Amino acid sequence: MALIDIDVLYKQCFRQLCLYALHYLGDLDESKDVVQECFTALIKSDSDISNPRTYLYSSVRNRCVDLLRSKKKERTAPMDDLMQISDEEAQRRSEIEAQLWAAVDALPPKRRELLLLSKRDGLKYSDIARLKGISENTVRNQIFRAIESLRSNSKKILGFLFCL
Amino acid sequence: MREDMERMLGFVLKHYRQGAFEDRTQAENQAVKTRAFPVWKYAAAVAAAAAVILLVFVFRPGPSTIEYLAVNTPEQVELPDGSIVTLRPGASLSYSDSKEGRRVDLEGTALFKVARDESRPFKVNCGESIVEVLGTEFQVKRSKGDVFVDVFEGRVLFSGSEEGVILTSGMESVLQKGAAVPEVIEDSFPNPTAWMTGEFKYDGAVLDLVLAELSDYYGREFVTSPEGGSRVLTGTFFTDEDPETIADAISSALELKITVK
Repeated sequence: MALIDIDVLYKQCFRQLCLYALHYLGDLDESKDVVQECFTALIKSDSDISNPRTYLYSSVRNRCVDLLRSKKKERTAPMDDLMQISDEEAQRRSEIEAQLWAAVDALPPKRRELLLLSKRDGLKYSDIARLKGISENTVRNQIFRAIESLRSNSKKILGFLFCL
Repeated sequence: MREDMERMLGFVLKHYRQGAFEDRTQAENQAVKTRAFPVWKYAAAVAAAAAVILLVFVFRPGPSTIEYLAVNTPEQVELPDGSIVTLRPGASLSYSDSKEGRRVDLEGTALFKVARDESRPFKVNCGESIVEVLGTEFQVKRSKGDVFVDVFEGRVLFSGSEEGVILTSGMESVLQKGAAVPEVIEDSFPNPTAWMTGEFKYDGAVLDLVLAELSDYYGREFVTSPEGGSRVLTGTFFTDEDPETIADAISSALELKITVK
């Protein structure tokens, strides 16, 4: 059996696997637990795994489906349209999402906060302005810049044309 | 392509939580979680003071409702759905569970750590307000008809009879008696859970805010000179100390006069 460097694999794949699981479970903590378990299973496994990355992706998917079933939720398909795309496409997407996550991490804290209040929490620009005691223009400006920098970041990382 | 990217970014932002992937071992995470509820402190306090604790379970017919009550000491209880609630002395809570969701009616103050279940929303009714949980950890406090909500982790939707506000971690909001829309409080108290942690911790807090928090906690009025109010205080005090002792400690630290009425 080829020796797998789990540490390297973990560093490379942990985030993207979590994002992959997140499409099924919709909860980040549960997703992290599932990915953790899959890594543990991989370490313990003594069968010959030729492509550990693909193996991890499919074991994460299986575990997610099991988990949803055990909760007796009717929905065993992912929360969104992940099912309708191929496995390779889903993996590629999770990679990009992991990069985007890192790019959001790298934003200046104030700018990130405004972006999240708007895009995640669904607050209006006028509400954010009132909340933060700044002008609506500043809010719009900062959010625009945040999206700008996410765009340029992902271009750099992926060499991918990012047109928002 | 454009749509794809927008959807991916939308997905990431929807779930984004700062520091979610920081290198922490699970054991460390566990430690952080447990530290939030130092219940053992109270176990010791109870034994020492031989205080009366009463925890009442009332099973009513029909849709099952359970009631909890904390009399003399903070009570930590686990609701049937797995959520953990810490009740401040004097607080009471009833919980009911149905297919549509989980409902809590609260009198007094309680800290909630809500078990995740997206299919059954968790709602807290308190006075004229409703707090709907989108995230996990928050406190609801009812004081003289006003309802205060503090969010420590995640997000909640806090509504009056008309509009609501979304609160994220670190935010405090109040629905004043008779008001229809909650207001966000800019200068929130530094220690909203002092009743549970047993301490007031200040790190460069403005004295006016410190005295307002102590006045609110003890139901006494802490007063200093108008010039003194803008001074800055760093230090830790324990809730089981007399108001006078705390006032004296602050007085000597900042070399100014504080009276407790």
